[in-house]
Amino acid sequence: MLRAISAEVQKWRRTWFLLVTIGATLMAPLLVCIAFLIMGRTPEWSQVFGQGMTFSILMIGPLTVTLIGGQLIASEYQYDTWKLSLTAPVPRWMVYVAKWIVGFVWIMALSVLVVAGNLAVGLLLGATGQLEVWLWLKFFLLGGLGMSVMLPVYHLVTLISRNFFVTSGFGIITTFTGIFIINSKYAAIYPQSSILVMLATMTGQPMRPDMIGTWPIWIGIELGIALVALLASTLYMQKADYR
Amino acid sequence: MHETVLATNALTKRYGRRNVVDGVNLTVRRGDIYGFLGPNGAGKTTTLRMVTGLISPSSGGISLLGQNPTRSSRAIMRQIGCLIEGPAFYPHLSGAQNLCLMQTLKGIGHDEKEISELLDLVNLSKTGHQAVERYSLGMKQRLGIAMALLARPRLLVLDEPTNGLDPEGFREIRALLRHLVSDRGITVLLSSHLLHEVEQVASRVGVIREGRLLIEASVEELRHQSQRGLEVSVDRAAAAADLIRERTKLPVEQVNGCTLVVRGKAHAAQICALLVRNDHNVSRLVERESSLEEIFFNLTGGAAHA
Repeated sequence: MLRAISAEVQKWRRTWFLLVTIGATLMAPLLVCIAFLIMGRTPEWSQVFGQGMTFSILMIGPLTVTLIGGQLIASEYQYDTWKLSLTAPVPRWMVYVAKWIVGFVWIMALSVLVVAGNLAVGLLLGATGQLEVWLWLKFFLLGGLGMSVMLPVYHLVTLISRNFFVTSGFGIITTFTGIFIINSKYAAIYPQSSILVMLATMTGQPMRPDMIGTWPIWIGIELGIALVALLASTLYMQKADYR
Repeated sequence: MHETVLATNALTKRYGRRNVVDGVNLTVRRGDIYGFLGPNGAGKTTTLRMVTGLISPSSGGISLLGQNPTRSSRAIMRQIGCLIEGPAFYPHLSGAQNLCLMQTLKGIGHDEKEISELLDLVNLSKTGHQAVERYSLGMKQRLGIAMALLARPRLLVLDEPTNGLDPEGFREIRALLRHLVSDRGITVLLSSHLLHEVEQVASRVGVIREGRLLIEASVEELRHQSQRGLEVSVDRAAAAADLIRERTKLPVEQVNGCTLVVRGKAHAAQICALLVRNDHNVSRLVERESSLEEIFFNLTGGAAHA
């Protein structure tokens, strides 16, 4: 497994898409900065991180996860390089799981990056109030964990469609559905909106107080989606013909 | 006794109702350069994809170095190097980095010496550190062969390795294959639709058409099977052909108004004497045998350069 992961890391170093994901991730703190500059007031730390979390988890994060999930698979089709991995003495399921691990770790690394970005924005704007970096780091890592639920879903869509266009369309639709659904009674059962509902509740500013206590169901749905997609993608890789 | 490196048993691949590969029995022996010939769409690449595990057979079996290469037990793949349907690389990485990546996947660890040797072997030592996206097609083909040679494989599977190469590139690849077989003891399975390319380098050939293996033999055996004959340039070819048929009972083909070919064990002096005695004017008489191209042409139904 280690050599499959190592090969995966070697493939993606110095690629444009890594830089794009870094740039996209830093868009959330940038939007927070612009918003407070326009409003012309000094924010509190909780506002900086809270707004940053909303932008990150509801819109920019899911799109970035779409890019990571789709591109990890689609570029193999684009460059016709599946045949390199699939003729190597590495089991097919391992080739896929290595991709999933690399994608997951990258999403978590970007979650740390967005905390650093928000911290920089807060310092730049002279944010006031109590700064609880570790607490926000924990929330953002939980957010990253929640968003990575969709990673195997995007993998599966790309494996079946064999290109990034279908996945990007799917990602845009699921992301904007999350934005539209956030204020509805279904917010907690939709993967992308439920993360924000859950985190908002954890930060003491519940978006849907009536849904507190139903977390096991939310987490169950999230994990169920992740596991089914992961299993389906692994089985697809194991069984599919490479033509 | 020849050691069998690769054997397929009634290997079949079906897409829908169509058998793309239909009961193919290939036998590649140790030290062979096995030319796998056939027109485009004959089933060559599909067969090689099954051999290398990229697609699974609908039925039949594969024995690679005496083992069954199932997808769950892929250790045997370390001993196979392959280049299937054109070279493929990560274009943003250099040639050397692509080789390094494949070393990792093959589980042999980073070996800078092997990378240098292979780049040198395929004449890419000067450009090995450039990004592959800047390579020409010929350079990519050569890098693809270098990649297939990582970890010193026992069997090299090359699918149309000279596609896009100029005559000089053809010559280089032929020389390289000969070197690999003689100096490194590698067995080569080489698919091509270009007979002349295979004819010059292969020791054994298999010809496939419409998914079926039509013949498998050594090049020598194939030449031996070829029909010998006498090509005669003569006035009134039709009358001369009738005369030879009547007197010798040998089959005669009239090529045109002044040329005919006498098949079988025709004796040149006897045929010449017969024609001269019957007032024919013989201007040329040459012993000839069918070229491999003609044999291939006959087997593949007219697709000699398929």
